[in-house]
Amino acid sequence: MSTSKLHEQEPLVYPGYDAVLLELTTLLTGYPPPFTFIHDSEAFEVTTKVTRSLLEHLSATSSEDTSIAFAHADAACCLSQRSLFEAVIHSLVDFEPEWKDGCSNWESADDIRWNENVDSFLQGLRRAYAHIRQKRSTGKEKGKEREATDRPGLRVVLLIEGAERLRDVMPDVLVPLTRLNELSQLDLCVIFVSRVGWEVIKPPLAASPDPYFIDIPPPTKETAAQILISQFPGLSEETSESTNLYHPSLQNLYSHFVTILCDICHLFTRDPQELQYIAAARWPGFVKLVADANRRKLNTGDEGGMDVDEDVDHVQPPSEEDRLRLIRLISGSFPAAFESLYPRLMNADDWAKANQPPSLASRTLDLRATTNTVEDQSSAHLLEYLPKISKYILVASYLASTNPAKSDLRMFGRGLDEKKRKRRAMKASRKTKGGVAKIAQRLAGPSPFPIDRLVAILGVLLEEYDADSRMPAEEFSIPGEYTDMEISRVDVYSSILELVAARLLHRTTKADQLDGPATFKSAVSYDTTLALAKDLKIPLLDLLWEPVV
Amino acid sequence: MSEGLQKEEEDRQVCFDAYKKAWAKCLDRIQAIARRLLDPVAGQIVKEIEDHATLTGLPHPELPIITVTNPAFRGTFLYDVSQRLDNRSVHLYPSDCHNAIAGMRSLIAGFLEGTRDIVRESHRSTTSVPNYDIKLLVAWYKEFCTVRGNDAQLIVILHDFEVFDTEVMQDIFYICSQHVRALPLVFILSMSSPVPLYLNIAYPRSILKRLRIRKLTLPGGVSVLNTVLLETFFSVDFQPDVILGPIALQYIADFYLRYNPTFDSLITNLQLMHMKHFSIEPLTSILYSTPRSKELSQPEWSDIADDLLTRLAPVSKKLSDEKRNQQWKLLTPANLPNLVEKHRKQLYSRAKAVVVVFNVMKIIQLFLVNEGYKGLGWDFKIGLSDILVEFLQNNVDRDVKDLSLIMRKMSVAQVAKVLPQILDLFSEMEHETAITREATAEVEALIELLKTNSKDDVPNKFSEWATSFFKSNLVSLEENPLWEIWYTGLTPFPSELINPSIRATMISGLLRPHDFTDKVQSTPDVDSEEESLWQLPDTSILFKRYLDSGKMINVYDWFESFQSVLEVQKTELQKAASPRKKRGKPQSPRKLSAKTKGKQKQQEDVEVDDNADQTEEEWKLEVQARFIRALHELDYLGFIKHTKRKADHVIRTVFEVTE
Repeated sequence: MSTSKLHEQEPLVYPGYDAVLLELTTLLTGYPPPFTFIHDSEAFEVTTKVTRSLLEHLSATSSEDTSIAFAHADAACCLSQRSLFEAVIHSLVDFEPEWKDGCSNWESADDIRWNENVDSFLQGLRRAYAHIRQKRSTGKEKGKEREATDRPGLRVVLLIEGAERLRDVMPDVLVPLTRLNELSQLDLCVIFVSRVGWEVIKPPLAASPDPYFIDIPPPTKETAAQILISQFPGLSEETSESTNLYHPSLQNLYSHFVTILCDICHLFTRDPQELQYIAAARWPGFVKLVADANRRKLNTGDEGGMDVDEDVDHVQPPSEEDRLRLIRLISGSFPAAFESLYPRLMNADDWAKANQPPSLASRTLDLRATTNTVEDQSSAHLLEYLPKISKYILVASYLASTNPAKSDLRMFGRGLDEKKRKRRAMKASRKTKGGVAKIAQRLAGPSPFPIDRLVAILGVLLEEYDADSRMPAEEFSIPGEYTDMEISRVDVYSSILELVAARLLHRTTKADQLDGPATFKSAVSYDTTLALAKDLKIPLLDLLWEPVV
Repeated sequence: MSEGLQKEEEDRQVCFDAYKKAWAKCLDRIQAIARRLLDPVAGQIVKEIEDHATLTGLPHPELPIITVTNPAFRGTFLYDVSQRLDNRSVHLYPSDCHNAIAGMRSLIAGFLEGTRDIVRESHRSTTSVPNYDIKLLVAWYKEFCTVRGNDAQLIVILHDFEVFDTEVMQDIFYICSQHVRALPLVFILSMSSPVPLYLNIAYPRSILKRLRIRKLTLPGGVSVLNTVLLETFFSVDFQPDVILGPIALQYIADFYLRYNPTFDSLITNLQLMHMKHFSIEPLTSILYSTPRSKELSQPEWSDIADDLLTRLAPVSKKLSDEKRNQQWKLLTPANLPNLVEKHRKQLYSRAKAVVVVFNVMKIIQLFLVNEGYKGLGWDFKIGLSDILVEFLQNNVDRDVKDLSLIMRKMSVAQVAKVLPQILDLFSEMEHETAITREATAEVEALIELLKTNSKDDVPNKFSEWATSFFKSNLVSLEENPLWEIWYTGLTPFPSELINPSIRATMISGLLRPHDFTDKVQSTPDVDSEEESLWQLPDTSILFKRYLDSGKMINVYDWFESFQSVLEVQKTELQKAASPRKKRGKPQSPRKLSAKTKGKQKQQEDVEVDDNADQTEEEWKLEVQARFIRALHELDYLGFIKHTKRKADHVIRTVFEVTE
């Protein structure tokens, strides 16, 4: 009965979450399970937001017989058990630590420590429970006289967000939290929201009761679009003072824009927040485009009037025909936007500024945003800033990671006649054996190598390709002696470690391990290495064991 | 003896004072250059921080992050930035953040400690918000805003960001991003890695999406080196007191490009060269001022005076007899100060002339490149140091010849464009000299000529003037008498101090241990005398035997050969000890070894005295013990590889050592 009443009062609508909302509302207002586990791996943050707003909604619109109070804590923000307890209780009683009181905790005047351990936390919880009950009943008593025993029941809901963090940071608190209902002897239920499944977090030996599971399916394309569209009124309220980018008259246009965006980008990510991020970055450009189109129309009507000061404030939704044309125009830039925004190669703000659409007047309207790939950017930077020896080390590391160790002598060894005896792998070796094709080492990922091998290959490279650019040194008369000195210099080793810190080289052994040689793995791509080798005039292709096809 | 020492000490002090002065001047200049290079970036950072505007419609608030990729100027640059800002800022280092709690604690404490006027009253650590909880900072910030009346952003500067633990930083970033509405934090990350996308590589997307990353890159690489070299040693408006020679210049440039492209290493190398110059050349004590002739006759200056007289002696075969006689006459102790003064002025003006010529040629070359010609084909980016070296070695005759040909072929309009640039250069000079005065007049005359009818002749005249100007001013600085005082010439750079070869040092340490442990006072004769094997420490004895062996070493054979050396050592020591304790007695080598512990040393002293009483058994035990110790030392140094291929054998790891 109460459920229907609630829905009648002010239904909380969230696209795509109707079923979940109904389920949760029914449970929480009726007979809630002591421990609920919500799992969402795709749109975790949206789910958290929805759950939280549902609980806020429920606690605000509490019914006659049961009022609901709720507390939430973000497990990732709580670095210790103590701060988790404090976060829960402060959120429950809606308390903010004040600087003037020395940032003391809630009700700490009597030197009561309810943040010390689980027992004291339970006490604190009971106090908070009593406190809220007291507060709520005094609020009501103004209107109605009631007996103390007749107070409405209070139900406390604890929402722990990002519960998977508890397992790593404070595994001890996991079991008490899941059993909080029986421990506290209160009308209380706990909800975990997590990115990973319960079976991963679950404490051993069945110490925790099995939760009531709610699995949130990944949002469909339509749901994602609806979620984005539903944000529009909020945005237009928020920005009504500064700019009119989200003017209510553009609502329809925004819906179309978002639908197309979701059509294109939903293939790659299903997280509505990511889609919204891209929409936020692209929308100002689109509005500008629309404003431009409007202005042009106006100008052609006025026979070239000089009214160019028109502000975005007056953007009117375009006609149906224009809308289709403009959306087609802008949609070409969505993949590029996705490519640089999704991995955060650029932030949305800068991207929006950098990719403002050119004015419609120019005939060559190319909206395909120019984005350099990660590869281009990093190799250009490496070429400019890396010292020469580091470039050699990177090339050597790539060779060491791709060539098998047993090929080194053949690839790099010099014969007696001073002529290189190289032999590349025969093409025949790519024959399939037993039905399984052999994957080229270049594609199979780098393999680890000991530091000595790296230094040895570095020596070969220096001897073969760097001998001309060296400083003259008379003291080294034996062939190869200079290189020998060179590869054991302090700065060679420090450069290797610096490259590890810069993540251009992976160290596969631990830093504090003294036994045995340190091993490394190359972390630069083929293209970067090729660029580096070109810069150093090393014929990389000749030095690779497996030919690049 | 002690007087001599004292005098030496005083001389050194004079040299050291001169060094300090010269280096301070050079360093000031370099730092001014650095400031000028960094100024725009600092301004940019300040602008970024003050830029509050964010895009509307983002799914959640983002934590502003400014990454400063700073491959050349590491270190304290960001302190300058934080001083420019009124905002409160905290500097964090990797050691402050070994875990998330410690990191948050130092972040919060950094802000709290800086404000003495905002004090937390009556706080009990047990019942109030812990000092690593961000709620504390939120509360403090609220108070801060009311007390100070502004809501300035809070700046967190993370130095050496690559060294921070990524997991810890993820937590800290996450926590801060969750409170960014209440707490306007801005993070500045100082990174030395040349990869601008370091954050994208090292951090997961779940954190990246909470950050608003702006990337700034400081100037680095070869451009910094070139600017410093050009503006310090080849600038028309600055004269360094010590002029860098070609070898040192080449090494410094090569080291920068090859190994360590940082500003600090560049400064260190230049400083080292200054130090070396002042320490190997005693005459540098008169680098700045020459003592008067009266002072020179005093005993404390006698060395310097003698030295000067020797060096100024006109022994060159190029001189005619008449000239030589004339110079001999001038060379009196009374006249020395004047001579030194004269040579100082002459050297500096010659050096300046070379610099001016370089700059004029550079202007013409850059102009030619601008016009689309190849010119002399100079590469002012990577190859700059080579060009500078050529100039210092007076090796540019060919270039001058080529350039004069090219200049002759320039059009009148082109010459008209170049000439004012050259005139500008002359006007930038610190002091006007005779050379530039003359040259200025010539160039002005050429410009005047351009306005007349006979302007077609200007390119020829320009070329003629320029060629003669170049030729007359390009001289080798080493022709100047006493150049050693102000010019480092062909002195090599002490590269082994900066970038030694580990293996070579280790092997030479094992082969000649006494060169490292004894004082360097030893006279050259001692070096030539080869020490016999028994005089070396145990590890060295073992190592010498190691070098004599094949690829695999039988440990028992090795032990026996070691034992035989020790037998010799024992008898020699007994021989030396039996008559009386001679001064030059070769001490037990192990006593010299730094690794020997005090306790063992004591025992050994006793042993040398009492080893007559030692039984055969005890001696054998001692030999074994010493062998095992030496073996383990070699093992620890990585010279031995254990193998199970053959019993009692180990494998050598170092071959073909040239002794």
